[in-house]
Amino acid sequence: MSEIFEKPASENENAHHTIEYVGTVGALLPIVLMNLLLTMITLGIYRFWAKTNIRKYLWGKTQFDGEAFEYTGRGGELFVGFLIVLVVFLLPLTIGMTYLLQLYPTTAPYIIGAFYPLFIFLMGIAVYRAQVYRMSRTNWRRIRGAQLKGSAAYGWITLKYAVLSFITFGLITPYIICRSWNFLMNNKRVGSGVIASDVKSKPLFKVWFLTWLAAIVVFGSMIGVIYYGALTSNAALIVLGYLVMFLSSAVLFIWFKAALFNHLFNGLRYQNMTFSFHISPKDLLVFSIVNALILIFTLGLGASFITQRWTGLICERLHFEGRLDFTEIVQSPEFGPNFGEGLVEAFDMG
Amino acid sequence: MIWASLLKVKAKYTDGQTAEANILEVEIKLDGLILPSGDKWRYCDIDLIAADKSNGQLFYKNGEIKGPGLTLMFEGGMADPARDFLGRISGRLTGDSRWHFVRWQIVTGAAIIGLMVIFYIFYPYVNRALVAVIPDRWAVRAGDLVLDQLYTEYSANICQSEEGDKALNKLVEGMKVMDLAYDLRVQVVDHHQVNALTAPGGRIVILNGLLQEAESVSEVAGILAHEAGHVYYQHPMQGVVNILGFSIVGSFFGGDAASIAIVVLSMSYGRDMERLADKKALETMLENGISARGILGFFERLNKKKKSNVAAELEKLLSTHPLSEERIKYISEHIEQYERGKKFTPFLTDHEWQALKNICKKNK
Repeated sequence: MSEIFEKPASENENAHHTIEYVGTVGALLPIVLMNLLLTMITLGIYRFWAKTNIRKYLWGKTQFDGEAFEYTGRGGELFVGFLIVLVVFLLPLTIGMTYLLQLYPTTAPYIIGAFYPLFIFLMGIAVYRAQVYRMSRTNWRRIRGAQLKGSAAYGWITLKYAVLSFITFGLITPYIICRSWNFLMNNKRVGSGVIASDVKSKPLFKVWFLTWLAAIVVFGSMIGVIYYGALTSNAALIVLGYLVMFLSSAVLFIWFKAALFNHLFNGLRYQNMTFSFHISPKDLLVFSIVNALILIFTLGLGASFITQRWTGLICERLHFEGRLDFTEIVQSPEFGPNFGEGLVEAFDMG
Repeated sequence: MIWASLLKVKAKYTDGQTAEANILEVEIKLDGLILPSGDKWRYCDIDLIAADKSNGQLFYKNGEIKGPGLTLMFEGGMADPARDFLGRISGRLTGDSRWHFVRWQIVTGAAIIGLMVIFYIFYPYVNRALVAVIPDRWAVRAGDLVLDQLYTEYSANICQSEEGDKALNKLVEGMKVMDLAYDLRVQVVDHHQVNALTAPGGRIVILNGLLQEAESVSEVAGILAHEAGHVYYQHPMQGVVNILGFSIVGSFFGGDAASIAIVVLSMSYGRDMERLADKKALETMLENGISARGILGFFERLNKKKKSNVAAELEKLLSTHPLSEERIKYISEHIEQYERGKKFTPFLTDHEWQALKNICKKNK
């Protein structure tokens, strides 16, 4: 319908595509405070709208080539999604388990234990379905994102990898993360544009193995210290043991985490545009410590600021190569589900 | 002519079919925007996607939520007067749509707050109704369950001696003037803590520490009367319903803010319960000819022992028991009103009191 006058300047050049996060603490604060107030007054029911408000803000302040993303989800959709899961899943489960425990107090724990694989399977489905909802509510230039069907397959993958992780004492973690990431990413679209990832876990195994060994040595010895402290009722030793465990768990995994983030993001593609990302273990450590301090001093109520910091960090360090042909990217035929994320709420993973 | 040229601005246009953007010149009219194709976007059909100082991104919704997805983006590169004009219009425009949104939020907000206020007001009645329909034998069973678990967890021993039990029974008989829903079953447990507690179904536990701390039988009688007061009002069962209800609501709707609200809620109910139990206890003591001076002295002694440090202050703030000072004042007023010039004979003989106090001796 349009008479074309000229191409926008940014699209004529061979300039790189950019992503930028322009949100600020000052602008997010009133949203967080209002959310907190309404969530308290409503005994938590407002949390679905609160979550939506935060997302609208975060999406709206993230700009690709200077144009904002848009979150079109509604709190009511999350609320209804949760109610559905409540009625068809949570309530029957709670009632059923209570009855089982009453009727067969000795055998019931084993029966419930047998359900454990089912829970892991459902958690996988929950994670995937949340992505289906979120992608469908993510727009850029009004072009919708999508996460293709595949929640059952992802549930199976999650279960399979949980078993693998269990029998290898976690040694296989890089493989599991890379395979799950590939599956999630390869099923993402923005319009007709395809997101693709084919990261291999091999380059991560060295740093993971060293991390794994160090963790066993540190945690093993600290458990020994705590045990000895308990035997000799030496409270100082017990506190020391836990403190060292807590602090070292933050530091120990930093090298692996930095390597992992770099590896996963660097392996991403969108159409013919490739991603590059770099963060050093030191930068990540400082970043994580600040996050922890924020959480501690806000008693956990500053979680949204942590999300904002993560968004900012990723946008700041993400760079793109290759020009997209926007004429090739057409609108997604999918509108996504009508309700969202109930299962994630049920498992308290939101 | 100046007028006309002022109202033509360049904008980035996307059609919602592809991600491609094109620059075109948009004419700004009083009732809408005119595109080069001649299409007209009326302001009432436009929504704002994002805006900051220099940019504004508009979405043409044309009445449909899942509409065609046409967008216009006005960038900082526009001539200043035109930008100002558009800014003012989109300000009005966002103002309008914001107001619509805010109005909707106010209505739902008010509805939710209204429901919550109704819930806060009626909650105690709902709770009492629930407790009333729960059969007594369930309450008795619940009490047994709770105490059994407590005993095993702390590997507590129940204290018994022939004379001690007799003395205890005499005290318990005195509580029957209360017209309780269940038979009282009182046990002394060998534990050093100075405390007593009430479980559902009329089960009361007195810890040995309390017996040792008490200097006279009227002090123990006062504590027992207070706990029996809880039984009279079926507070333990209300507590069970509270905990169940709140934890169900809490776990379903979760979140930090929600749990804060829930703690605050359950706290205020707790304090009211203690006041009621105190009131009932004083009535019962009066009927049994037991002076409240004993229990007053007991609280005063406990109060002095309490260190005044940060931990104590915090405990005061979070405690579900009425503040000691408040309690002491209440009991003093009672004494002032009902016990003036009265003479009281001890409820138990000296021999019985000693037997009760030594009820746990055998266990050691």
